[in-house]
Amino acid sequence: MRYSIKEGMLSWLLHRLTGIGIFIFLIIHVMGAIYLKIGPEEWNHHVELFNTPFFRVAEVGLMGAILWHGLNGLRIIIIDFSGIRTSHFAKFLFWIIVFLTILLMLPGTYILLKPLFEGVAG
Amino acid sequence: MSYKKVPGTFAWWFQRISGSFLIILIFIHFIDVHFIFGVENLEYETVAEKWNKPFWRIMDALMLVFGMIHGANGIESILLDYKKIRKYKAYWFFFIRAISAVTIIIGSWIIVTFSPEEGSVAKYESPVAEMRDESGSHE
Ligand code: HEM
Repeated sequence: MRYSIKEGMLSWLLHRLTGIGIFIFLIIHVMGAIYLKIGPEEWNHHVELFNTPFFRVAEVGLMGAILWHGLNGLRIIIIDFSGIRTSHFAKFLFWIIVFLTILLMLPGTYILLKPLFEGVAG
Repeated sequence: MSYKKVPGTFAWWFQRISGSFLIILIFIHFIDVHFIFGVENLEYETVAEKWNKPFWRIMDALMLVFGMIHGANGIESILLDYKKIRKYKAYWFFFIRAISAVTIIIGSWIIVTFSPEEGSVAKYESPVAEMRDESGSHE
């Protein structure tokens, strides 16, 4: 499907980049889970990494990528199956998912970064 | 354009169906890891408790399988956009599929065969666990 509008180009490019990024993340994430089979201490040492400021900030990025990709994927599905091919409809949905991504990022970012300001994360 | 994963092909349908499942699975995963447990409480013990229920093993396995096949399928459709890559399509596809297959096998192996080591859990005192115990937020 092609929607030759600039929002369409941007959402298409972001969909690709986030798709590739999540794919690479998922592979690393599963490899990290091997520590579960190595032993409790090794696993516990591994997950402490997620608690560091660097990983908490990186997780905000991961959450944004997954939210964008997932909502934009939903947008593509809606356009495909609704049969509505006007660029006006595609643009309308584009701004809805921009809004939803930001809306969901707010509580998500708060949850992920809150411990940084409470001195829990090391 | 017959090389493309165009509407109507299996790949096209799979991408839409797995995508719909993934949005639900990943949403539950986020709630579970970040609201119910919290990233600071992901110790071995927590995983053992969670995977005590087959339901969660099944959820995690579904996420793994759908995610990896959806991702591989997506990467393949990106690769098909490049003329130079199309020439060696068979090799690229083999490479991508091999990576996904290995990841699915390793992931499934962990999910299916994980069984907590008897007695080894309590012995370990992570700094995070100590902090958690002090704040008394978890039993
Ligand atoms: C959160 C739920 C998700 C939804 C709703 C979703 C939806 C979609 C849809 C509908 C497409 C097809 C786009 C098209 O045919 O033009 C797609 C492509 C893709 N997805 Fe997902 N997806 C999700 C999660 C993921 C995950 C977890 C990964 C990585 C493992 C991923 C990686 C990709 C890639 C690489 C593409 C190809 C992009 C392209 O062709 O430009 N997606 N996604």
